[in-house]
Amino acid sequence: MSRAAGFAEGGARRDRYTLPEELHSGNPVGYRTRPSLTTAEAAAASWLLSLEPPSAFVPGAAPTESELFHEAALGVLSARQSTNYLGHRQATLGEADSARLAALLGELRGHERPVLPGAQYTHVAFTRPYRTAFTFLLTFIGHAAFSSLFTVPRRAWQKRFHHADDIPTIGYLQHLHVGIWADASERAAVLASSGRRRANVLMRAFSGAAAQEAGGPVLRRIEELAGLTAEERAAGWRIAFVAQVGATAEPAPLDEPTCRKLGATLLSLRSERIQPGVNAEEKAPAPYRTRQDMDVPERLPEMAGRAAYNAFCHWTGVERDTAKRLLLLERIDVLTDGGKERLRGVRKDLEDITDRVVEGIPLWADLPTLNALSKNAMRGKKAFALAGQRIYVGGLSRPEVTAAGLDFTHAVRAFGAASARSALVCELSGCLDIPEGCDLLAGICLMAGPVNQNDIGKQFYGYKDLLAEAFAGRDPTSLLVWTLKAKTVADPIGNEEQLLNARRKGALVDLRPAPHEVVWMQIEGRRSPMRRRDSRTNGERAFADQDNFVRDQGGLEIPGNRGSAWPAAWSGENPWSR
Amino acid sequence: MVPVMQFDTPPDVSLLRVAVKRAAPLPADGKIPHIEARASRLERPVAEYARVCGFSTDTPLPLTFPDLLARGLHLAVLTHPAFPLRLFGIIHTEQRIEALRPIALGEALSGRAWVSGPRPARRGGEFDLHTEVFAGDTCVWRATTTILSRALPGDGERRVRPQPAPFVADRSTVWDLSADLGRRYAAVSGDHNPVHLWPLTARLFGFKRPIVHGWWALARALAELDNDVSAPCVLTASFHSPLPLPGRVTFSSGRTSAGHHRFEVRRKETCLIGAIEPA
Repeated sequence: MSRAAGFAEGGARRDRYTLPEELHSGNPVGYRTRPSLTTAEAAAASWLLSLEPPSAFVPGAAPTESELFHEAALGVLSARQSTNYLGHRQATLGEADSARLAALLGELRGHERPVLPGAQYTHVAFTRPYRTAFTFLLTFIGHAAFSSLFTVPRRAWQKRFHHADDIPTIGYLQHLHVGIWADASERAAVLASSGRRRANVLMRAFSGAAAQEAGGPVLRRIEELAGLTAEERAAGWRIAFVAQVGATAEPAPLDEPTCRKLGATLLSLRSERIQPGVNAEEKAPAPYRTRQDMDVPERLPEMAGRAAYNAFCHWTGVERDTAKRLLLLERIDVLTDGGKERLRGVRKDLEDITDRVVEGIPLWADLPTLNALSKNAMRGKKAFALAGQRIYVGGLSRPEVTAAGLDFTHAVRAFGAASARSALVCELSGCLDIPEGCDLLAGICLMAGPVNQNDIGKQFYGYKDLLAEAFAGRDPTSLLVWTLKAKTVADPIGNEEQLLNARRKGALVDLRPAPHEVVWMQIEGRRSPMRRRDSRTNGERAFADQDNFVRDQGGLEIPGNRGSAWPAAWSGENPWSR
Repeated sequence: MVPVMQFDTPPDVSLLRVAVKRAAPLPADGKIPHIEARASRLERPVAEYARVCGFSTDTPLPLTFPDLLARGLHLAVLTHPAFPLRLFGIIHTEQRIEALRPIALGEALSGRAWVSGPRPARRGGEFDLHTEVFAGDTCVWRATTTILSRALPGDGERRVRPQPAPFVADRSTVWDLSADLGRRYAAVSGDHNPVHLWPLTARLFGFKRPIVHGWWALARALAELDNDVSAPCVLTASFHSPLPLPGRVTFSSGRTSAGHHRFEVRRKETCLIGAIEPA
């Protein structure tokens, strides 16, 4: 069974189950379908999921603009899960500036791996606090009725000028994303160069308040070299990590066609929220309402768990046993004894918290906005719903992380990387030998929503952490929820449209950006936005040669979805030798 | 017989002269007289034109650029006292370009332009504006621009345009047309036709909003096609409906089963259709 979406016909009103009328976006992703991977391709993907950092760089062919674009497409331009926000920017420095940067990096302490000389180019990744319509709503939550007239503006001030967060898990979101992005950057460098280059990603020296303070003057010089402005700094932008990229002597066991296909595959993966026959809407087409007779095999979460531990070790440098101890994972899925009951309990708690949030929103703010705040809060219920056959709640214990000698912010970033890598294992497994007429074989949704909602309950209404019972006495902080599904029907295109269509943008997310909005090349001390040149901006979809664009059953494409290649004269040049 | 106008470089024809051009009576045989202008040097900066139209390079010259080189010759012909039509209100309907070889930036070029027609159309009459560009004695580029004038008598007959061959799209993208696009193109092309400039001036000629220059749309399509298209080749294009500013249109292109390029620009309806075949 597949989603088999079509265009709305004959004046019928289009909804999230019909195909969009067009795509107007400069983002390189577009509406894509999952390619079916062969066993050999899946093995290549497995190698990608356990990449080792390079030990040295060797001289190699100069990078082309097209390679940098494809690398950005797999990195900063495609936050893989649904909680997407314009909180990431990337400056890319050429060879000469990379050498200067390497010298500055050498002055910083606490790197998880050596700084390498000889990088062909270097990405400096910037991040700012997570802010969306959802965090605006949070400003009004948790105040006493009468004092809210004073406490709401005070909190708004703290958020705007001191980058404070309403609840701790909103602050962690920023760092979970940094971890996901850092992990993706390693794969992106390999795939965009067809296996010729690797990235040496350095994150630890930039993680957390202590590292930011210790590296202060050097960090300012790196920011200046990368072109960060004083206004951006004041707005909360900070260096998240640095990725040195260069050719390596160790060949990757991947040929160019495999790299292209895996690149297109990674761009096609999406959060899958629907378990057919379990949580579909009544108006959903039949394939979503039909319960499927398939289960997530026990082995899949085991593989995913292993990938998560490996990633956590990779980013923190701790031993595997320590990683297993520090990563707190509770399984509350429907396929285990008592799982359903536990799940119902969690759902009820989250719904109760939503009700209390709605009751507690100050009337002076809600009434003038025609109850927009409370309506939005109610709408959140759908986003916090947990549906899947195997569900894990993951988190960390701050005291245990600190006792292991790790900075908690860095551990949260490593947790983000670990969760993304484990999700990739599941998603890539769902692409293995997809039978004809199916969209996929398994899907996953990594969710922060339930954790945030639980955190609201913890901070303002006296609830316990989601992990409190499973890890009693260990002071756990839940960070993310995994919901794994076995199914052949991908979620509606409407979910993706929230990220690509300004008229249908979701309240919890930002639109997927175009390259020139978030990436710049630093050329002779000036910022040159990626793919904004003369009167043109990007219209190309990355790995478009793989042709995995969404079509209706008659083969008709969504206008604008396929994109158009960037001019060859521009994409073939080295940006630093124009 | 109108004597051939000979220029060293194409003349600058002012907007005022275009505006006050009076229509001469159509000769008794119903044919537009042969009016021809020649220039021994065609030169004009191309960089800004390439920028406004989205070309990635200015050498070889964009396939549409020679038309701009000869623009002064076109206006000399169309504002000639013997030309029987006023210029305001005429509509660019079809275009044919034969690019016989690539033209390098800075190459010494000469050219000529003349008119022929008219022939009846449904709502008016159409005439052709011909252009030839030479490198030395060799013609390197020629074009026929078909223009509709509602001042000419039409025959009311609906003509069915031949259906373009279907193509498998290899490009599909959305263009944002900014409100000032007409003015920016006018600045580089010298075509200050009021229908392209401001809402108010466009309204004077029956358009609710300014509309894109047909030549810009064609040039932008070729810029999008990039290296898929190069001389020698024959380009044919027909303009079906105007593109209002500001606006948003979808461009798509691909190859037919015969391997030829086709492209189209659509709004709600088809606005521009083009084909490129080997010369």
